[in-house]
Amino acid sequence: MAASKLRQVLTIFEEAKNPQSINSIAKTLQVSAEQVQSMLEYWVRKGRIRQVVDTTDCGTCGGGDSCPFVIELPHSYELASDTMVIPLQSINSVCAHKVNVDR
Amino acid sequence: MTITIALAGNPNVGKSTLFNALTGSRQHVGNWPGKTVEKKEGKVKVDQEEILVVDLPGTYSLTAYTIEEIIARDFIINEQPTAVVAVVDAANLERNLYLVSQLIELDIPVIIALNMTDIATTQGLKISSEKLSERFGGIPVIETVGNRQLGVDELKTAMAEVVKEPKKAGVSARFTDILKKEFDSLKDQISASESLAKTFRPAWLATKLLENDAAVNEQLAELGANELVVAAKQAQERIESETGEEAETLIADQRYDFIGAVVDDVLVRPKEKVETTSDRIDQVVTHKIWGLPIFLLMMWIVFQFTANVSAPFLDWVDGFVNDFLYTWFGNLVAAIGLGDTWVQAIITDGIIAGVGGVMVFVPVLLFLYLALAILEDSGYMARAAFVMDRVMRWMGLHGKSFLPMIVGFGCTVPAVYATRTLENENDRKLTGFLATFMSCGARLPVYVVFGAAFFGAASGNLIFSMYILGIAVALITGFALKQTVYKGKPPAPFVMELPPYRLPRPKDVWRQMWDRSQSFVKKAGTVILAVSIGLWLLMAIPISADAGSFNDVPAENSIFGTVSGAIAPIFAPAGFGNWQASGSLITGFLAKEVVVGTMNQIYVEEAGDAPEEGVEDEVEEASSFGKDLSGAVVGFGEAVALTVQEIINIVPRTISLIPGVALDDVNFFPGEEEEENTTDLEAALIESFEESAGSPAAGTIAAVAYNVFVLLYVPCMVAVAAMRQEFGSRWMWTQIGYTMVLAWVAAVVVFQIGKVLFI
Repeated sequence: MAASKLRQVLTIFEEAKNPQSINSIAKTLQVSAEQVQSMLEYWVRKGRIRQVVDTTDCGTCGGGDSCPFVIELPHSYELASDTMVIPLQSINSVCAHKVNVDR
Repeated sequence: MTITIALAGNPNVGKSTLFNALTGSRQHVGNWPGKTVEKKEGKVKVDQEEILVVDLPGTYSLTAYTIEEIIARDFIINEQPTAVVAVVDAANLERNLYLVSQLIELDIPVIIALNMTDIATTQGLKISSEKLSERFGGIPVIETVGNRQLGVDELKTAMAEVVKEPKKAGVSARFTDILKKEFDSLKDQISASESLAKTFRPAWLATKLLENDAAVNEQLAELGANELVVAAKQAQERIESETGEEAETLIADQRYDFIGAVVDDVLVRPKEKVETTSDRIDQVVTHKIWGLPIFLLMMWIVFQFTANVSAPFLDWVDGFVNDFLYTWFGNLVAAIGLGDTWVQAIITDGIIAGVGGVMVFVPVLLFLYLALAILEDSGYMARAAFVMDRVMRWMGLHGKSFLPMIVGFGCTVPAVYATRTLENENDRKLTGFLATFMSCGARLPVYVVFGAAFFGAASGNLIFSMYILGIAVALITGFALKQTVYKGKPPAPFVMELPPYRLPRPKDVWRQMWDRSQSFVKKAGTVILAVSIGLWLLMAIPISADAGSFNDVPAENSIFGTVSGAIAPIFAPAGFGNWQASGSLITGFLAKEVVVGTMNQIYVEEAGDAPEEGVEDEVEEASSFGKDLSGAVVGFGEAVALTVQEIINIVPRTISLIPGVALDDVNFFPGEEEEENTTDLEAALIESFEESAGSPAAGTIAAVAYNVFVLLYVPCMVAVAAMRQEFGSRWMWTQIGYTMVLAWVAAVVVFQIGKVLFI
């Protein structure tokens, strides 16, 4: 049976040698970029990839309101080091330091 | 009995805004029992019926992987609200419908609140609410704009209707093939058990069992339904054996197929070719060969813009601060009887020379931040990370490290904190180490003043070179450290969302530019002011009684001059072994902007020891204040015109980079001889560096070496404190030691080799 589109998203990710854009994956799979993003979020929940916090604001140095140099970095995802499921946590953690999987 | 309706949706879809619009002030905020997640509930009255609205935590789905998901679905299963309002972001329809499909699987009446329809419209998206309702089995779909209270009444009406007449839950994805077979079998087993069928909706439970939902398995074990759990496990194994895929992934995939088909039917995207404009631009901008040269060209344009376009205003501010303010504040203080006292000295030679000397560069930073804000807002910065990834990957570094490093172009402190986006501790430390080589905005005034003094119209090239050198040193250092101290696995690939290109929004660009420049000005009023006063004091106190008296001592015989003079010989091999240059580097540890402020104070102080001819007469003429002021106003107008001229000249200068092409600059004032407007500081620097290096040519090379030192040596104390906090004291001291040695070696190499090559 042909691999599902969801699985193909993960495979493209795992086999990529260079950074990929969501648009390029969407083009390869002939689905919308939004759907690719939704699929990536599925794999984040499964613990196979992790979403990187997209801001330099970690709340420590005073945060976005007081530091004008905080910039919005683009959303990105990377492979999680282990394939175990991320333990229960809040999705509202701002700082990537806190979102790391417990090893 | 209280009628309850739950509000569910992805994060950031305007759910809370809609909740507030529905309930107004009649709401209560607390926590979900036993959890730290906030719970909001409120009351809304519709048709005399009071409905309790519960705002569920924002979630992307209803699995068991996050606290928010478990809270949301436990509430729906256990509390059994009358209906759920699924708040959907109309501008991100496809992504939001995954949760909607799962809500419908819970077999509970669902109303879709299609929110942010105004944003969807501005993006050219057209959604048919009727078709959307039809595709989900006739559930109500209400268009809303929560922050403008639009559609709220219609939503209340829909809520009242569903309370009066609870409709059947809508239609979601239908399973196919083996999934359907196993699903039907499990559903029948559940339906056959009275206790289970009473507690759970059979269809939903069957789905969760196939998904191997941990929370549900636990619950069933507690209820003694182990046989069912075992049966589900066997079903999963059969599915995986036949399809090669986990059941959970297959189920999710079929949901995505269903949602994709729904969206194709109900959503009309703006008329675009399959390949969008952004895609076509990206094919060039992120090209594996052309991407890097394009990135370098963008950087070059940024620094041409920064150096040349700001130059007219820099000259104007310099004249205004160092001539007009310096003179007239001095006169004012003299007029109230404090002339020739330390009070006058501290104001003119301390505060105005020190703080004013730094404020001169506000135009430079304004234009730098303007350029960076345009690049950020246009979406180009994400592409820069993409392009640099190939270079960094080749060196064994993580490409995503470049994103924190880009932040360092503004300020090193958030760049250090931005390393938290990297999961691996070694990658974090390494990136933090390298971020300090990204030339922050505070160092720019040094490059600008030296560039103007020694390179004139080509000062932009010096600035560009410093930034590129910083990146190059970072890459080489990173490569070396990655092969040794921070050896680890090769960097993993990453996927990035490249936002579509857009025309920079003037309001956002202005805000960024203004906020960052304001930060610089605030710093001038605090740290730099304090340093200026402290420095003035140290230059006013003689090192010994023989050297002079308070506020009447040659600068080199003051405490500051003596200490600086003691370390100056260290820099002789780099061509700037004079106390003025080395002293400025000391104060640069407090804040890099202070380097220029210190130089201004030192050279102003030295100039003050030998007053210029004719200045005394000018100072005494009170009537020339008006003349000076009007001169300043006229000068401002000229600066505006010249700025526009320089903006235009970026085009011919960029085109002239092509070998064999040499376009003339535009000149708004043809016929006028271009004056060599060298400021007092620039003239003093030229003289000082020529003297310490031995000749005019050597002085220029020494100036470059000095800038290289400023680029590479230890960052300011705030950045050092951030490093200590993030990476520990030992790492901080290592970084300080490395940068100091590297800076010295690099400066010496530049000077010595430069002499060989160019003299």
